[in-house]
Amino acid sequence: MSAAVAEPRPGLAAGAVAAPSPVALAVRDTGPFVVALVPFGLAVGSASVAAGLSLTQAMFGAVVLLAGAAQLAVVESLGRGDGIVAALVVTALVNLRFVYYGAGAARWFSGARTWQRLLLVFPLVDQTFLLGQQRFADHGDLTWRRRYYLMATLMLAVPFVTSQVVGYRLGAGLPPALGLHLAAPLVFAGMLARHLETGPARLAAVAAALAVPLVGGVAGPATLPIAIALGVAAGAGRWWR
Amino acid sequence: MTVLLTFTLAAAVTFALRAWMTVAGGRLVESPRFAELTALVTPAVLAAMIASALLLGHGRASVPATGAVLAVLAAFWTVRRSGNVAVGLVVGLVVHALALGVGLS
Repeated sequence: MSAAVAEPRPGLAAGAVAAPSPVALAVRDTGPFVVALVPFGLAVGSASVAAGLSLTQAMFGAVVLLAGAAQLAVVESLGRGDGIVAALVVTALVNLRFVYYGAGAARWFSGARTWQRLLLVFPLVDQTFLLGQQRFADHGDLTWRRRYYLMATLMLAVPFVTSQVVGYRLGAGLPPALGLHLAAPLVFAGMLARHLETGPARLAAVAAALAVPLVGGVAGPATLPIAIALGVAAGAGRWWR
Repeated sequence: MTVLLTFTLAAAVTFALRAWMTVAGGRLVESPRFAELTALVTPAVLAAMIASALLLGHGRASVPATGAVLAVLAAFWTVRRSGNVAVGLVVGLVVHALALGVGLS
C-alpha cells in the first residue's frame, strides 16, 4: 500500500485533490470478480452444450439476459424440456433479488433521466450492485458513477461471455465422464452454501429439495415452481410463527 | 425458435425486475415482510434446482449417481469453508472424477 499523498493536478485549485479515475478504479475493483466469473462462464457454456443448444442460441441468451444464474436456470430448463412458462417462472424467482438491486441503482442514478436510468439497470448484476454499494457512498457525482458502473459492467461482461464460448467449445469436445454436465448443480451448490445464514433459509432449502422428488412424478414441468413455493412457505411459516 | 423465444421472454422478465424500482419507487422494497420472503426465495430456488439435477430422471424421481452426489456435497462444503464458488466448482469436478476413477457410478 502506497503512503504517497495525493497531489493536486495542474489546473485544480490549491488544496483540491482530483477524484480517482472511475475507469481505473473499476478495472482494479472488478479483478477478483473476474477470476471467479471465468469458471462460472465455462460452466454455463458446457451446460449449454449438455442442454443441446447451438452456440448462437447460447450466446444470444448470454447477451440478452446478462444474468449468469438465471441463464443457467433457463438452460437447464430447456434441457429438461420444461416449457416456456416454467422457464420464465424459474427466471423470475432466481432474479427476484434484482428488485433490491434496482432500488439501489434508482438511488445511485437519481439525477439521470428516466430513460437513462432504465438503460443503466439493464446490465445490473450481483457484482456491479456490490461494487456500487461500496464505491458510490464516496462519489456522488453522476458522471463519475456512470463511468465507473459502465466500465465495471464491461470488465465483467466480456470475460463472462468469452468464457462461455470457451466452455461451449470445451464442453462439446470433452467426454461426459469429466463431469462438465455437473457444472450447473455444482455452481448452484456453491451459491446455496452462501445463502443459508438463517434457520428459515435452511428450512426453505431443505423443504424445496425434498419436494422435488415427491412432486416430480405428478407435477411435470411445474415441479420446480411448486417445490420452490413449498420451500418458501415452509421457511416463512417458521419465520412468522 | 423456442429457445430464442424463451431467452427473449426471460430477458424481458429479468429487465422488468431490474427496472421495477426505477419506475415504481421503493415503497414495496421497504416492507420488512417483502424482504423476509425474498430472502427465502434464493435458497429455495437453488436447492430445488440441485435436487432436480440429482434426483429427477426424465421427470420422475430416480436414484442419484453416487459420484454426482459426492461432488455436489464437496462443492457445498468447500464454499461453506472458503466462500468461493469457483473453488467449489473445481473441487466438485475433481471429486466427481475421483469417484468415477474408483468405480462409483
